[in-house]
Amino acid sequence: MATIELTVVAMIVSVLVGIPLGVLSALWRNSLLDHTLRVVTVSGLAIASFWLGIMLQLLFAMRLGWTPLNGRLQGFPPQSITGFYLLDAALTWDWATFGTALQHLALPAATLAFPALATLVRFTRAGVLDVMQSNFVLYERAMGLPRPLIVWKYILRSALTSTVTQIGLLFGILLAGAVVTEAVFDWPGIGTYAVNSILRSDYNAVMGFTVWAGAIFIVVNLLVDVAQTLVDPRERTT
Amino acid sequence: MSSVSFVLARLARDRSALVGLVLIALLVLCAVLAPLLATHPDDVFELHPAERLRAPSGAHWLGTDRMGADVYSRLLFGARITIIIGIIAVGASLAIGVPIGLVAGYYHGWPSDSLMRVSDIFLAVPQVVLAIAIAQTLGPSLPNVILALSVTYWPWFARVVYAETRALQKEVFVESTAALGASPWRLTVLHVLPNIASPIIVRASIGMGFTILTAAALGFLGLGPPPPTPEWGRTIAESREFLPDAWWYAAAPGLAIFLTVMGFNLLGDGLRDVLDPRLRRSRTAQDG
Repeated sequence: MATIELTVVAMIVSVLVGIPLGVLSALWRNSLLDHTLRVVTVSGLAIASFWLGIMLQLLFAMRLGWTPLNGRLQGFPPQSITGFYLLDAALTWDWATFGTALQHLALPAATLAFPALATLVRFTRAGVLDVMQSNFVLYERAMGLPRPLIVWKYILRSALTSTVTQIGLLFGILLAGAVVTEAVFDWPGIGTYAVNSILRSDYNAVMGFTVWAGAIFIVVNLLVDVAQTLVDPRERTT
Repeated sequence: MSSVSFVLARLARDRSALVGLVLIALLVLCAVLAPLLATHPDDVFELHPAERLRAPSGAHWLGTDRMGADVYSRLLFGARITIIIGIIAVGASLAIGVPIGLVAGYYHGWPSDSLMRVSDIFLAVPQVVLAIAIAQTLGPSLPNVILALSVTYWPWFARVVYAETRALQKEVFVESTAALGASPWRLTVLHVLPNIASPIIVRASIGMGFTILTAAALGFLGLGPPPPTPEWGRTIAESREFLPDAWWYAAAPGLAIFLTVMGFNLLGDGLRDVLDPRLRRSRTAQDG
């Protein structure tokens, strides 16, 4: 559950931040924001996540002391309802626990989300630019439809269908990234378990983890295909 | 040769591809001239306990590590390992993936289908996870890291080559060459392969960056070449217990990985724009 909580939070962060940024950088193409984002996304794909994690620890946990160094929580976990500490704490109105859980989650989630964020920004930007060049958008412009209407109703809807696919693929990448990220932050999830098994030469545990990751990966890809047909009417006929 | 100089000339006009080329050239220079450029060339194996964990200074540009060795000198020698891993792993993936992709793309029927299903099996598990499993089973060493990376990366090439070969088969020039009686061997190697070289080259450049990143992750997890090899990922792992005081120890190798991978990624993006006319057109439609 710890791994899934971490991955889901990283996913939410990268979707909530990545897609709007991608859209903005496509709408304001070649602006300062667009250029800055291009540098950020290129770095996001080139940075070693374990190094990013260590550097974040160094800056925020060791130097500034804003966040805890590692682990998932100090003190007792909230009453277990879903297994997600954040959700459990919120459900039981235990806001102090919620706060510390969030603090513990911040750095690993940011580390994990960064490469996914970079991919999403690039992908969304390309998708929106592609749609903006299409004939139907040109037609709507010629008809004098207000720009916000064109953007919200027509451009986003057709540009984001392909992003759905990308989100699914990212989930698999995040899962793999969780192995290394969890090792850096001592996050008590399945990634840490896998790394400890490697260090102890526990072959069965490593094989088990590999099979588990493969199974999740396949299920997620299946869900993506299903979601794709729901979102994109063109897929249904085939 | 004219086509090579054409590609280089176009690359030179693309600012980010140029940055990528410069970064890679620097890396190669560091690797080749490591003994000359290093300020303390013997520090890869020598111990200086008295000079342990010194901060960066005139004598030690990037400080010293837990053994008292010069971090800058070890980084230079680490560049050699990185390049060796990248070139052999990507080269082996090419050697496995390209023929399989060609055969599976050229012939139809169950043998080619089963070849592609085998590559699908490798793609079903995230690459890092599979590489970890293989490297762990074989034991930590440089050849095993390279083997693990090659075994997990070739399906990407097989995929690309397969798709491109299938697409080319419908082209008139391939059909007419076949009609003229060219053997399958001649047709694929002399006519199909040169026409699908561009996507392979682009994939190889991006693959170098990706492979180096995965190799560093393996090294970080303790699955890389054993100490005292100055492998970058392992160096970062070693440095963790000396944080936050010895920040240079962790920061320097990570920065080296970052710049190297960025160089190959930028070059790959630039090559794609130059070599693939279809994508170039869509790109200019987007950007201009």
